[in-house]
Amino acid sequence: MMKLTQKLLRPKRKGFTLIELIMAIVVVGIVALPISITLAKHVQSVFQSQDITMATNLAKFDLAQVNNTSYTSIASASISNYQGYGYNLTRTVSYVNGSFFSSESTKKITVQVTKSGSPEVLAKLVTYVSRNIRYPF
Amino acid sequence: MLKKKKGLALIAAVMLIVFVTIAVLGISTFITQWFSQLNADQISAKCLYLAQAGIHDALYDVRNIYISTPNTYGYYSTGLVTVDAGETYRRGGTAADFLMVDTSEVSQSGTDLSGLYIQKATNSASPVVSIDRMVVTWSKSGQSRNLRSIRIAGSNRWTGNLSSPADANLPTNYTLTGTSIIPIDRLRFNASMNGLNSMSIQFVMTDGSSKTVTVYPASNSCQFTINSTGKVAGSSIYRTIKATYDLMPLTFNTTSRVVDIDEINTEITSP
Repeated sequence: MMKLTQKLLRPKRKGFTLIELIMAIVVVGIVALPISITLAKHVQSVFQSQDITMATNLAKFDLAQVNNTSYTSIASASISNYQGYGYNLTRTVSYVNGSFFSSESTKKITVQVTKSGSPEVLAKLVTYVSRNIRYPF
Repeated sequence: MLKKKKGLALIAAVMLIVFVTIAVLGISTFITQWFSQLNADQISAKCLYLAQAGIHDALYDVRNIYISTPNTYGYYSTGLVTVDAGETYRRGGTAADFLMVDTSEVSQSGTDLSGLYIQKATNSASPVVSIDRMVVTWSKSGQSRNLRSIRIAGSNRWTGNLSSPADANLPTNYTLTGTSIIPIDRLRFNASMNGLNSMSIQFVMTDGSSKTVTVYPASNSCQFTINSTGKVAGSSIYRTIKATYDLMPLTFNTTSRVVDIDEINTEITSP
């Protein structure tokens, strides 16, 4: 009699656990989906941020070099695999004041960095450099 | 025993969800802040180079005008300039920053010190460059002397009788208008200034700023200061460069230079 009672009771408890498990799986599934998407985006962002950091540093490096180059030597350039880091750098130079023939002039320098194989500009810096500007150092 | 196991999976699932959510929120916050910092770093670099653009553009104007236009040391405009879409610099500063003082031709003869020239370094209406007081300090061997008058552009702007340091408060503030060189015709003393060793003038402007210049003995100097703030639209980040340039009028072509350059933590917001 006791065994029969136990047998009758057991399936009820087992069934309840199964429903419970299914519910739990469904709930976890519903919550996990947006979390997974968010995490995937974040992982992608981390990789992108590394690219942006590197591209910005390379753009700054190039402008530092431009500032230490003689004025007449500052020219447009398109450099693939800049400094061997797998990024492409485009330097565009144009006159905003005067011209090549002027005794005084100003050049606008725009430096853009992209990752090799991608057209997306990761970093862009712009400045002016004028002729005959001397510094104390 | 069986009662204790009731609802265990659901509780575990809820706990799992809570933990995972907390972890994901933590990671999200960290990555968002990281990105925000990264973006700020990039904008900061942009701002610095935009500020540089403002300095170099001003120096081009001054140098080019000085070379091509008589009776001026050159000048530049203040205000906002767009370098690239959404990327700007703004130039401004105090009245003292815009006061050029040429000490290259100063001489002393008898009771007078002459050959001092001043000019406003901008053709813009703002800031107003107006002298409120001139504090004249000198050292001289022999008998002491008193400052009696200061004549600027053909008129006595101050008269009195003061020993060094003479705080000459101009009865009417002297405002520099236009961009032409203005002579400080003479500083007259009560007797001969022979034996004068050195003299400096502190120009106190109406906006409270001041500039001290050694005017004697004469030196090949004519300095002014440019302040340029670089900014990117949509961001509150800014960077300002303050550069002092010396025209060195006697040897302009070969020696004129930036004599001091620094980054300052002040945003130029006007004009």
